[in-house]
Amino acid sequence: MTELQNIAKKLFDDGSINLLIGYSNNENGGTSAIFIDNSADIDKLIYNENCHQNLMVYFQKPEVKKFGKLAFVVSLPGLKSVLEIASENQIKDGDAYFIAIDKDGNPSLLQDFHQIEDFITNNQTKPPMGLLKLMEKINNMTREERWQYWTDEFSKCIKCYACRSVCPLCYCTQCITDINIPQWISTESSPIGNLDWHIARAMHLAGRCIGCGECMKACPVDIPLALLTANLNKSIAIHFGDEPGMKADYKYPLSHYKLEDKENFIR
Amino acid sequence: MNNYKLITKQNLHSFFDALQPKNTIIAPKEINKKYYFKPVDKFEDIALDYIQTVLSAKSVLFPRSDTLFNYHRADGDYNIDEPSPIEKNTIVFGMKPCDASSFVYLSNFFLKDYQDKNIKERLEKLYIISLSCKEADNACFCTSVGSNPASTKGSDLNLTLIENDTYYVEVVTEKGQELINYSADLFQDTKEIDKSKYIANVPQKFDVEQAKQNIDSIFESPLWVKDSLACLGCGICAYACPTCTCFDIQDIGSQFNGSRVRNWDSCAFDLFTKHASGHNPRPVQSQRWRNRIKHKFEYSVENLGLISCVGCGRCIRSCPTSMNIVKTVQIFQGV
Amino acid sequence: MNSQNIYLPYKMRIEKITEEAPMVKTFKLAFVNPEDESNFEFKTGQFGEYSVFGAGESTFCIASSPTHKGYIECTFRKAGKVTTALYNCEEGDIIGFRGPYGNNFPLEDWEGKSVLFIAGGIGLPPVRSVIWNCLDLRDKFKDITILYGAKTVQDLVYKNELEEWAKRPDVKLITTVDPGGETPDWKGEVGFVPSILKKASPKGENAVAIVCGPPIMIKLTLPILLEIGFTEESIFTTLENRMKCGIGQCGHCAVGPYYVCKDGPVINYADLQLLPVEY
Ligand code: SF4
Ligand code: SF4
Ligand code: SF4
Repeated sequence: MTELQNIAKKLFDDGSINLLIGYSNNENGGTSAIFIDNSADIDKLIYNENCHQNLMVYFQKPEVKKFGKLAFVVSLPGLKSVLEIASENQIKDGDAYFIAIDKDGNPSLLQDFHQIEDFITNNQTKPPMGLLKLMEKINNMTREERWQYWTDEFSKCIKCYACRSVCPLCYCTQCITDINIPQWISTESSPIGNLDWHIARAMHLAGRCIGCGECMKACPVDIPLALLTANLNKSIAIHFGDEPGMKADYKYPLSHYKLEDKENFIR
Repeated sequence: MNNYKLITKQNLHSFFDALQPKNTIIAPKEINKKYYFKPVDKFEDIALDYIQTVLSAKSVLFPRSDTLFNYHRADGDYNIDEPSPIEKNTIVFGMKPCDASSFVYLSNFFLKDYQDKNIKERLEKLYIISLSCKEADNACFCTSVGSNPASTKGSDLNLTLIENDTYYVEVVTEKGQELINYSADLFQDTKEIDKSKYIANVPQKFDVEQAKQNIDSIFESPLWVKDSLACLGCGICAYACPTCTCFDIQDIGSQFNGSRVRNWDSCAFDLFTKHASGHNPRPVQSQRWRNRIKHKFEYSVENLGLISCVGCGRCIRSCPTSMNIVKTVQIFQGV
Repeated sequence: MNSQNIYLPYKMRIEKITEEAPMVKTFKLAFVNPEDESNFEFKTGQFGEYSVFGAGESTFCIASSPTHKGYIECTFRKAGKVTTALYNCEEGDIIGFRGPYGNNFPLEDWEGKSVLFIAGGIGLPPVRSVIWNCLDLRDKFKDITILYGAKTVQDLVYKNELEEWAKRPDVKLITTVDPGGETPDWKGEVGFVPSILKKASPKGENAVAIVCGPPIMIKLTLPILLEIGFTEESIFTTLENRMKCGIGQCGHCAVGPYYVCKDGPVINYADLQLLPVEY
């Protein structure tokens, strides 16, 4: 039994959890989420560099919640989303167990938000090279080029809203796209309809996105969505000095007033 | 009708050039190592050795957003006009046999009780040149749903690469002959050949008759929940699928000017069935997953005599949570 | 309309608006084009798609009877985007209508039988179409009983018609409101529809019952109907799944292989039990 499986087994044996959400090999040679509801299935639990889905998205799924006490296998992005949803009062300390995988692939059981915060500080990684390059390329474009770049990208969008479904922070019970009185986001997939959606999506995640990249991986037409929120995060960090997913008591800058907040945008 | 011809790759290029000026040609194109159907005007832009595109070609018939009519307000009344759904004849060049067969399903579905005008007009101007599969991946399962990698079902012309640069051509329909007539001397007559040695080997993953029976008989089962816990209801599977036909009708514009459009929709979404009162007939994801599977293998058989899955594997490849329709069918086969 | 486009609506002028109850209105609609009117036919129980240009379409039944020619009526509650837009329309405005869609109540099969109508709240409109249809062919049926309940007196719709039916000697009308919903001068019953039904206990032999209303009311009413002698085949309702196209294509209303818009909305209780519970 691997160390990961040992930790999981112990959680089941002492009755701490009813369901564990981790990774296993799938029939297509990849890995996918596995939902283990008794210790007999624990031998299917694995972790390797192919395990990238951010499983915290399942924390808000009604049929998963119904199981009762949950444990998640999470790496850095997953843990960041835990802190972010904690700061948004969606999860309380002790609501779930986290088997954290550090940057060397070793598992450890984290009990509370403090441990998660320390873990994150000690396990920082850089975003993948390809992404950084693309980001740099986009940032070096002129404003017109950048507009053209995103217009082209958005024109591919089929508005499946998968980017929303897979995001651990898109948990609203009623998404703004689904509200029709008034119709904020036009329903059709067209240049304007797609732009509507992408502005809303990016703005609703600005300063909240923890950069797991799930939206981008899910997108069937490969729009580099995470770059939008990453750039918005950057601006927010510059102006307000804050970064999401680092602290459970993070004060989301766009909804919290601080005395030292700049007022230079008020003209 | 069925007659058999040969064409060299070079001549196929010329054939394309002959078709191109008078027709809109949609073909698979590579973008960042993935394949998408796009309008093409150069033969070189077509990917001839792809396994499968991310999205199906159904949008040629049933676009993501389809204008049903436009309205304009004038003197307290409304004027209504209908844009033509298709201008030029449209050829889908190089779609896979599974996709070609999906058009048989689509035309049955949309023209059965009420003839859908947009779809009907598009079908009349649609030509399908399919390309038999040299290669498949482990998401492909056409052979499990009554098809095969060289099936001519739904095609007007079917091409199979038999030697390095020679394609074996089957003229399946009158429309196929019409295309050949653009430049008939590029083709050479031949006899019927056995294509099986030139095509991909796609192992059969389940027995469709058995699957239908099993899925038919199981409505309440804890397996539906267990099997669908990973599903997030994102809808990619339906949007990628060549035979998913659900839609929504919405108005775009103001009370003065605008259009009524039909947008794709998916039974995977929780809002799909939700009543204005808040009551939801399928409130949880497992019920929506069950509906998808049962629709594909049971309900559409009952209504149209056809299963609504052609085994293209798109839903499997593109699901962000690795849900797998084949696995589900196999699970129920094991019950 | 000579075009083949099934989505083109008839243009209808709102002739008259009646405020029925809080948030509930009835529109009387006349065809703008006379040919549309002469070509239009429907049967009781069928529905249509009503639209406000710019807001979209919404599904509800035709609340008038096919025996009343020259116009159709619809009654709706302001709930979503389209019904809100409809609610804000004025007399003289033009709206869209396409239909009729769906099956109908099998009136021919009911000849010589007694008919019991049971409706709750906004469930009366589909029933009202049948009521008028039966009343206009009064000789063909035996007893006609109408049991109608709403939350409060204010919530009762078609108040004028209720009065008219109450006065008719050939109709037995029972109205009721939920406990607490009565006003000082309320003369009807007080209590929930199922218990009032039990009290009245009309005979189920050689009779049919039409039940429309909130799911919970239907659920509690059915066992009582069976108790008093109705059979599963003699109890009818109309299903109200979400619908978009009305012609069995958009997929929204599908309950298993059954499309409410095409195979329904009218269904008897025996057939209803064969469907998966997804309505
Ligand atoms: S996942 Fe991609 S295609 Fe789907 S809505 Fe998001 S950006 Fe558009
Ligand atoms: S099966 Fe996969 S692609 Fe389909 S809705 Fe569920 S998560 Fe999305
Ligand atoms: S259900 Fe999946 S495999 Fe079947 S046709 Fe649709 S996308 Fe292809």
